[in-house]
Amino acid sequence: MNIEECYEKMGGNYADVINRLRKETLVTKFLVRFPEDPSYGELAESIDKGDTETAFRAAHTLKGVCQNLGLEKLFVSADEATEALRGGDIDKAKLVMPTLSSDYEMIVDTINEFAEGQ
Amino acid sequence: MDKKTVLIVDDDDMERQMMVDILEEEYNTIESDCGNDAIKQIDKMGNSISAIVLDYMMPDGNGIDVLKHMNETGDVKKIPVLVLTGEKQSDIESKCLELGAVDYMRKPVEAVLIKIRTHNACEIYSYKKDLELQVAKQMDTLQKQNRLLTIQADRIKKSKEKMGDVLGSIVEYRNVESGDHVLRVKEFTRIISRCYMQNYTDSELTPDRIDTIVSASALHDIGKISIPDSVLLKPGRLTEEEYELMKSHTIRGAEMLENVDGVWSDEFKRCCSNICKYHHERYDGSGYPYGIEGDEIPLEAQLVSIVDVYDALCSERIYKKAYSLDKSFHMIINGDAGIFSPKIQECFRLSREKFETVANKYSSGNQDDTMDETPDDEKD
Repeated sequence: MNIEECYEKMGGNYADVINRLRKETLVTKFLVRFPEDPSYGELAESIDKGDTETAFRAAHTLKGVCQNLGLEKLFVSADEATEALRGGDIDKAKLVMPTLSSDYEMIVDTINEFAEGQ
Repeated sequence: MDKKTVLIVDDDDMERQMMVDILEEEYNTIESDCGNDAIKQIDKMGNSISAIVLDYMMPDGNGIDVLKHMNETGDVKKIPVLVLTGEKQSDIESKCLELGAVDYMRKPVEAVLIKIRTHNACEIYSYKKDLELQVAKQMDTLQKQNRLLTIQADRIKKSKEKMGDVLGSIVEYRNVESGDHVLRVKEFTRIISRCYMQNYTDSELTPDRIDTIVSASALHDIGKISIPDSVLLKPGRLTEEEYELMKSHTIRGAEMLENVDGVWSDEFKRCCSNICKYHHERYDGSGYPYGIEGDEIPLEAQLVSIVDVYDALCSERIYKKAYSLDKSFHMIINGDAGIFSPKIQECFRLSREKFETVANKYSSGNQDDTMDETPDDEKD
């Protein structure tokens, strides 16, 4: 699987990300590091704990990372969670979480698969 | 040329690393993972940081906290801050810019734009820094020159003052008996002028004006240079003709000074000329050379006139011995030594102690308490 195929599978926008970051090596470098990024874990954990503030910051970071890496599908659900948590509505955020989690897992799986082939 | 240093502040490792990768070709990068740590690094490194790329939303001090701190320390004017955030709220943007951020960039990151904007911000601030440095250098040079000018102006002032004293003392050398008359007259003039300024706040006197009057008082008798020894040094009573000649020292003095060009200021010359011409006029019109009265007599001449009389009374002269300080004081207060304005007389009364301190300082022990005759005021 090459990087473009990887992006297509993840529901990402490779054309946009390469246009912004200019170098494929840079995109690849950060894409394969995405599974290590702690913001998803922090978001899931703080929503479980009912810590709205930390959850908001984590969702916000996750959204930013997705935006930078052109992970559009996950960006959409992360953005939705961010806005819910900005207003303090943790229940609404919880409703977003199943979609967000499955998007996240799918992306992580795809990236891992891509990384193995590198 | 050494690479400039950029501080990258972001709590997310990956985001921060991405910025490092984008900027490290052109810059040394240092990193910080929260606002509070960034503040520590900025305080420590100060001006060696050329720019800061700052995330807004972070735990332990957000971007606004960093900007606020930099406002307090003044660093915000020295280091350009580029805020980089995924935040879409517009009030955050305006707040950051209000706090002095030079730029506000939204995620997603665009490598080329980040590079250009960082580069531009560094250029502007380094240009600004250079200009400030140049201005500071020029200010420093100007201040040095100004100090030099002040010293020179002071020297010129002192040398002019000295010249006045020298001219004034030429008369003393001819009037062998008058000793430190010029120096005493200057000190007395300062005392009574200050007293006058303090008690009559509506008068024309200011500390500068007093300096001028004091300097000018040294020359009050300069016109005596033109009086022949046979008259000036005559121990006995003067004939009417000789007395007329003697009286002319007032006008002659003023004429001499008016002919001096380019040495003294107009203010000094006018003051000097008034003192020479009018220091023998009396408030009741009984003086010379014009017999003018009251406040027609310029204040500076009135001040020097009472001082001159007092010093003549308590000093030995060719035609008289010295009176005691006590007697000299009372003669003036009682109107036995000419009439002065009530204000001047009052200041003289108030200054008695200071006058006597000065008189004693110069005293050569030649006062004679037994001399009780009315002074020969026609002489001087």
